[in-house]
Amino acid sequence: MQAWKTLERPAPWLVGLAGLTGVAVWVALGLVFFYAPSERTMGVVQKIFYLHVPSAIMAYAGFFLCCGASVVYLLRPSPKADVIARAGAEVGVLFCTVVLVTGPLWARKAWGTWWTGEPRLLLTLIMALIFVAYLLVRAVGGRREMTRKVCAVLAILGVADIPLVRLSVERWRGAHPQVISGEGAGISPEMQVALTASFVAWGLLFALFLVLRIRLGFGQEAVEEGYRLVQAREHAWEATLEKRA
Amino acid sequence: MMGKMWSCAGHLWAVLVVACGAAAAAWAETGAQGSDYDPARLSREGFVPAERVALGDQVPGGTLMLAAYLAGWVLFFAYLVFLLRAQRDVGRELGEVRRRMDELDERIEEGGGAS
Repeated sequence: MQAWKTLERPAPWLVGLAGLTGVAVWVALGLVFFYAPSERTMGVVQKIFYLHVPSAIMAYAGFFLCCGASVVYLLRPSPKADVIARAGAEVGVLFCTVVLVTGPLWARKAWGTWWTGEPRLLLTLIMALIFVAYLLVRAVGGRREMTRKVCAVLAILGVADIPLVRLSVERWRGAHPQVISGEGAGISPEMQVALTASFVAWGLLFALFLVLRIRLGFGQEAVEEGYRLVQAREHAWEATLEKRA
Repeated sequence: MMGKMWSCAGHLWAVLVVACGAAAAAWAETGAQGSDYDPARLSREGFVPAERVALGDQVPGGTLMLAAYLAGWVLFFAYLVFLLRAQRDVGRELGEVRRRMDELDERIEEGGGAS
């Protein structure tokens, strides 16, 4: 019943994290819209960059977390590792959806098309679909041990796609410019400030979602455990009554 | 209750994936058609410097940027609402478990305790 108390009153540090995230997001948005200059060729649409890139990194972080917890679960099955894996996948899919929605909107202006068959785009879409499949299997398969193990393997396969995305950038380049990791001039100092603030804000948002989802997962586990406990005690009590009769 | 909720969430994801796939296909199609590149128009009008193109004829970058940020925030808020509602439901179910446990304890006490 510890989980009941935990869910009833949010911990002060969680409230602090939510407040800090709110402030960081507003600061980042202020810097993006009022401080960072517009890019010469793409104009104002380039500001999608400050939402698109940090979201992609947070999606990777979620998927890596899911993979790590899945490996732990396969080696030493525990509800804790399973809850963390599921939370990582869910938050990762959320941020990856943001990437897949904002990307085409940016591309429409920058490339003249919503979508191209570029390997990086296709591999990112495949990765998102693998983790959507992970969540679907979890939703349909329930809390069975086999479902959890199959999903753990699926998560490891999904994360194997991330090095392929990186490799596709190095091998085929594509239409994506390499302004951050490339050898070119990079971005202006003002843009760098806005990007750093966006990374901090989106990182905090990611942490907030992750903590809330993990708490929810522990609560769900506690409900299952509680019902099992009640049932077991009811059976034991009925058996005692029968014995007395 | 929780199983039903997750099943609903699963169906929602399925619908979302299908919708995204259909939208991506449609976008790819219209993107190719809707691109500014039109050989017939270019032959007719020649190459026109970008500065002379009326603002309304250009792809609206500001609208696309606003759409991107709006979509991002709608997704984030929707997920936050989903998390808070699910948390409230779990809290209710934990309360129900506690009530049943207390009820059982009372019955056991009244019956002289289970050994």
